[in-house]
Amino acid sequence: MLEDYERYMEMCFRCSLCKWPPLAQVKSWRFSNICPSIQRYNFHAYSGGGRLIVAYAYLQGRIGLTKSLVDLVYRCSMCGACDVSCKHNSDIEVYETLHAFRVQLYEEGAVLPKHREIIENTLRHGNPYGEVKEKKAAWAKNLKVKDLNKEKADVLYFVGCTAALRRPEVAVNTVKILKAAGVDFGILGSEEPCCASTAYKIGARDVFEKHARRNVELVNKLNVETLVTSCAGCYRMFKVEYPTVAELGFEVLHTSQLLEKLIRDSSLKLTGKVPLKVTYHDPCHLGRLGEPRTPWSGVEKKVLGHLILTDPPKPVRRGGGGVYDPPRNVLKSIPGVELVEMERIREYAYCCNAGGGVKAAFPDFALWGARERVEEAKSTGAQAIVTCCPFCEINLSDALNGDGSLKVYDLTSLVAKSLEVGE
Amino acid sequence: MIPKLAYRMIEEVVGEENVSDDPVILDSYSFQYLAELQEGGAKWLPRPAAVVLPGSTEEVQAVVKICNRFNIKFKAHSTGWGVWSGVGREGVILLDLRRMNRIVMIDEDNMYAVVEPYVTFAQLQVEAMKKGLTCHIIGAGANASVLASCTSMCGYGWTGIKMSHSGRNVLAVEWVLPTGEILRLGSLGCGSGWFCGDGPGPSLRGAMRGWAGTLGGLGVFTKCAVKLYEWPGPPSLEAKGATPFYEVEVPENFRVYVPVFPDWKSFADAAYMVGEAEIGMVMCRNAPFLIGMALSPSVKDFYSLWESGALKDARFNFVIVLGGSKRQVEYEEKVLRAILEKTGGRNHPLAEDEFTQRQLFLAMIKCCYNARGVFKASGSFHTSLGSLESWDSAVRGAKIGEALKKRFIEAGALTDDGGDNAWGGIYEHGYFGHLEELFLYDPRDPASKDGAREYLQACVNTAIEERLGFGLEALTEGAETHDMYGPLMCNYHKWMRKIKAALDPKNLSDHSFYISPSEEDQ
Amino acid sequence: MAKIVGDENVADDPATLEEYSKDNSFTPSRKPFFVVYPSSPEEVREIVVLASRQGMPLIPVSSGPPRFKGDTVPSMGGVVVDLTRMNKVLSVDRRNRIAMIQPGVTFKQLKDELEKHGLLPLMPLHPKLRKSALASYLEREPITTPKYHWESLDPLLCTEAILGTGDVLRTGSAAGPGEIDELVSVGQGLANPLGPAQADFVRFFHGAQGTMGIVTWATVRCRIKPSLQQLVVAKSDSLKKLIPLAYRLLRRRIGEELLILNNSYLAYLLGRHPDEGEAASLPAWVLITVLAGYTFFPEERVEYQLGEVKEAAKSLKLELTDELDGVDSSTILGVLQSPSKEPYWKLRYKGGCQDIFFLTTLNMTPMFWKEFMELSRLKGYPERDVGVYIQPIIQGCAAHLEFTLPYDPEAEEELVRVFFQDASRAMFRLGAFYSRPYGLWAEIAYGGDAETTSVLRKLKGIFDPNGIFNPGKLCF
Repeated sequence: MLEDYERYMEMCFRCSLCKWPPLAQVKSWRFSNICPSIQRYNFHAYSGGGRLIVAYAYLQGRIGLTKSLVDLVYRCSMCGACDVSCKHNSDIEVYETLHAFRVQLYEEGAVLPKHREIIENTLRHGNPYGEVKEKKAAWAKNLKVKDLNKEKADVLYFVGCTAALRRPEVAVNTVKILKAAGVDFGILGSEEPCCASTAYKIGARDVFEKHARRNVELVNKLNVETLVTSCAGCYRMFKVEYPTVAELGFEVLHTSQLLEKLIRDSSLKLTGKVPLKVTYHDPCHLGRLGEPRTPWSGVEKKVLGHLILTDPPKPVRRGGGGVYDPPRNVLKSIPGVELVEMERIREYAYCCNAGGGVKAAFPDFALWGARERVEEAKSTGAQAIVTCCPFCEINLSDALNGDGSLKVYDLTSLVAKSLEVGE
Repeated sequence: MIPKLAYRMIEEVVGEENVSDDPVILDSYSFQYLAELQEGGAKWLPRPAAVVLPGSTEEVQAVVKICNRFNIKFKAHSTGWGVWSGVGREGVILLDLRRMNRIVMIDEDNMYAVVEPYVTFAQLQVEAMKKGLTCHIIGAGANASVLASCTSMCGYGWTGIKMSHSGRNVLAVEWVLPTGEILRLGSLGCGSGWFCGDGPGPSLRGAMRGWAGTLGGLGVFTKCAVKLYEWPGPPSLEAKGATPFYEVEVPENFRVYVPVFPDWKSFADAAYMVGEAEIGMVMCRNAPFLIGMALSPSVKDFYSLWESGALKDARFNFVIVLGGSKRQVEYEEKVLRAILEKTGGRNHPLAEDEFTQRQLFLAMIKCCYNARGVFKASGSFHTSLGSLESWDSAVRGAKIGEALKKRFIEAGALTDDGGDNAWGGIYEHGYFGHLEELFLYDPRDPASKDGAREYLQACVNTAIEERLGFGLEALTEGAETHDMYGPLMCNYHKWMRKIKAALDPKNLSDHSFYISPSEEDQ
Repeated sequence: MAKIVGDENVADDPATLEEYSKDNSFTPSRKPFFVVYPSSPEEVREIVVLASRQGMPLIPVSSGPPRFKGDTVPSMGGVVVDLTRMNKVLSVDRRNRIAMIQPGVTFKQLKDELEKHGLLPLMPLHPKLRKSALASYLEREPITTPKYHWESLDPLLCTEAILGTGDVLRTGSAAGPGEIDELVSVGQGLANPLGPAQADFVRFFHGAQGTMGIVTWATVRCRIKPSLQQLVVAKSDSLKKLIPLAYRLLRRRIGEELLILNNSYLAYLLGRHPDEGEAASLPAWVLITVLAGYTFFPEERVEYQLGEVKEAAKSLKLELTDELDGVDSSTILGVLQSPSKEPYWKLRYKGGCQDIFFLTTLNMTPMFWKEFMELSRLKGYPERDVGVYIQPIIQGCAAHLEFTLPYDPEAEEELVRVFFQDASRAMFRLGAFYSRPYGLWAEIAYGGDAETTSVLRKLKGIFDPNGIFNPGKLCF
């Protein structure tokens, strides 16, 4: 319930830290914004803290459920950067509160038309795009891959709707790589369910919970040791959110983590040269939002008058525990690849601005944010921007719009290239 | 509500998407830090009538002229942190200067920068460092607005030992007066440049601000020049690790010390000697409570540390950072050691630890987690006393503040921070100094808020009775304060009122945290 | 007036009136009605109340002659309020390095008093013997030690001023709450010039040429008397070559005194003729700085700073010395750290002197100098006689640039008057900032800044509603 988060709204001390990276990480004036929403729209309400205030005003009945309220709440990719910056100095759960606000609005029926479409597609077709579910298997048509609906394997490769339906090369390359490394894996093909990440972000809690329970049960029944996915969104759902409603009987890895492991234990040998200067874009769902939850039980008490002390200390997810090094280590392992970093990276990376339902409902704004990120990538002198999320990759490519000065690659395509050249 | 015609005219000036009277937008400006210390304890100030986002001085001027035409009150706002940033009454248009965020220039040779209102200290510092320069940063932290601090607010910070105070760092200023005219102070007025804010003849900087600024009560400042200082470190400081404890390697030509002393007297004497010897580029006294909170990973860790008494011997401390050429640092370090010997001080073992060294260096130079030690504990804090005067006077104020605060802690109103939570340091190599008494309270607890309010009132009375000067509690109290202080201070309020009336004859610039042009308007 | 100050402290004899009716500037002569010599702030206040009631102009004067800028010459008659009887150093606070002084205290007097406490005054360059320290600071005369000049106000701190209404206003932390003796008794140093509250009232009296109020005392910052000093002089044939050295030292905050002079100005300071004797062999330009040691390891302080200066000079290919041909360091230090003997050094060469000074930035000074010299050639003023003094201020953010023009008042007045006027205008067109707008410069400065003029007049209307303070000056 939104009321459960009222304390965080009241704790906002209006410092505007949510608008910038943690200040120690501000490296230039040019790239010193961290929130695409406030950067674009400028009114304070568009910042993380601003939305906390708006939620508070809504709870207190100062403002009603208006079109502009809904517009404001959803004109945000829910990237969590504000949460990281705020928690650098506090324990305020900005992200969770903003999510609870979306859940509240959704349950009151305030859903943007494009988001309603996504929810219905998810429910009806098992993907947010509204494609028939058979299409999800199309990418694997000519590949010999175990079908875990019928066979057994150690690893389930969970492709994700976006890779399967919009960026099939990601899936194809991943399969190539896993085979080269001798991994015993399989897929679910057209039976692969939607992880419901977008539904979750929109605030459709009922849809999320239903998918979470069902998907976990499905994968548990497969008796795999590991679920690996090349989609940051799917990773986050399985790793971070599903455990809040169901018990997972398998390990969850992102492909970058598995690749790092395979390279380290020499199962995957990358010998082919890929001469390319690249910079790496941290997907929010893999990075700061991919930091796992740590269950806590303890007591909360007040000491010294008003200090709230939790015993044992309640873990606070500040974003530092996301997946940052594995993709970088993989890149550094590819002969010929030179990695240069952008200014805003890791837990304080700038979002590509596609997530949270923004790409569907506010496509211009999604591109605006992506263009900002592209400028940052260009400023490093890199020839390409590499990422680990097909949705990021799509939005960054859309922003480039044919501008050949910068290429966009998924990590898997560079690894696959190295294998190809190596052969 | 403002007249529809006025709204449309403003839209013409700034563009439709840069003005709003939607309550959803307006309420994000009504909620303010410290608003809960008003009667009733709500976090809400009056709602602005509209919020406007001008993008240039010309747009600011045009909007102010529209306000003049329609007799609409307005208030300037940039990073907007604190109750004084909000509007104080109904019917006021808020000018959010966020779109005016450029560093106009950095003059490397003459060591100053020209900035627009929404440039933060963090942004200015990082660009200045590339040129071997840095800026004074205020205690609120590097997320605050440079221009707002220099022109409109206060200006204390722990770089004051070498980099002065915001009110003394400002050079020329571009100022849209409440009437809509543009006043350019000092050398800017005749087109000579930004290098001097005073003259010709008497300085109008005197009307712009005093010990504190007018907090939005006298027009809109659209650009200012601010002094920069030598930065003897690398062009950029790479902060490694993960939040919340980023680390920076302390460069070879810097040293971080945390000297501790047996008592207030030796602490004060040492600071005087440090000032006279002209050593140090950062110097700050933080109470052990503050240091402990800032460096502990959790409240539980802090509480264990606090209860263990390990911080007790760190009470009379200051952090000092030395930096410069190799020769200079060697000399300064030798002098510091001699001062410690002379005053019975020693470097606290806490400071010898590499982790602490890196944390303190990062914190002291970049002022990047100032909020942590004060907001995380109980949810909120405020400050009191802390007038700018001799260092001895500041130390005396700290003792008085501690005694006063203990009464409210014992009554359960304020968080028990040990009583002594004095923060501050010496400025301009010890020619003056300040120590403000921080206090913590729970913004969600009505009794705590009431207690905090009573404590602030007690501070006003104490400052008067104990001859401590005009203190920081006055900022929150707003315009009414002057009727209390003024008669005791050469009736300065009478003259301030006349200045307000002369420059803002229609009283359109929200005077809620400045002064009204007449007693009736108050 | 006589009732207020005593009969013996009012003068209207012709000689006295003649003395105050003019000075060394080109300001038209005008006699005051009489001169009063108050001895206390209370007397000053009563004078102001009386004058305000009667609409009588008052012209405050704190320094003895010679006077140069026209600010003390009555524009519209009136009464000269000569504050030289108020000449006490009221207190010296060694711990806070602050002195409290009355307007009649000269630099010599202040220096003598401060030295007893191990302090020195912050001084302009070789001021006249009877120069009032308080007036110097109020007038914004640049001090020779830029590192102590954090902003334009320095070294001025708190003041007590009598306003045109007769009200007393204490500025900065001197405003209280509490009376001065109470504040001092609880450890205040009257150390903060800002405020009170949300206006810096002292800034209205600063640079005001006595038009906004009469300051009856002030606290001022002092510096510690060095236990060790080392003069360092960088020589060059070109001003441009010295500028980078100045910037480096300013940035590092090396050196106490720091200034640049051309050979003529230095010759005048040393009491010499620029063409004669040793003065002829003075370098075209010198940058002078003094390194100092204090309480802790003074030799090591001087040593490390000297190392910095040498390193900077070497990289800029500049030659350093601690003395010049025929001029030892103690002579130069004496000039830097003491007031002038009489006759005032600027008048020794030819009997008269005009100065043109303004603010700019260090890097612009070569351009101004070049243009000025071009103009002097055009106007027939002997180039060799032009003295140039560059004083970095505000710790290097700006610079006071001064051209001093000795001349024979009997023979060269018209030439110099025309040159002065033309050069003043020319410098303004090039970007000079007349922050201290005396005489013609007021017309130039305010003519170029209408909004400042308008606001200043409003403030004048507040602090001096009857317009009694030095009417006709600035833009009033």
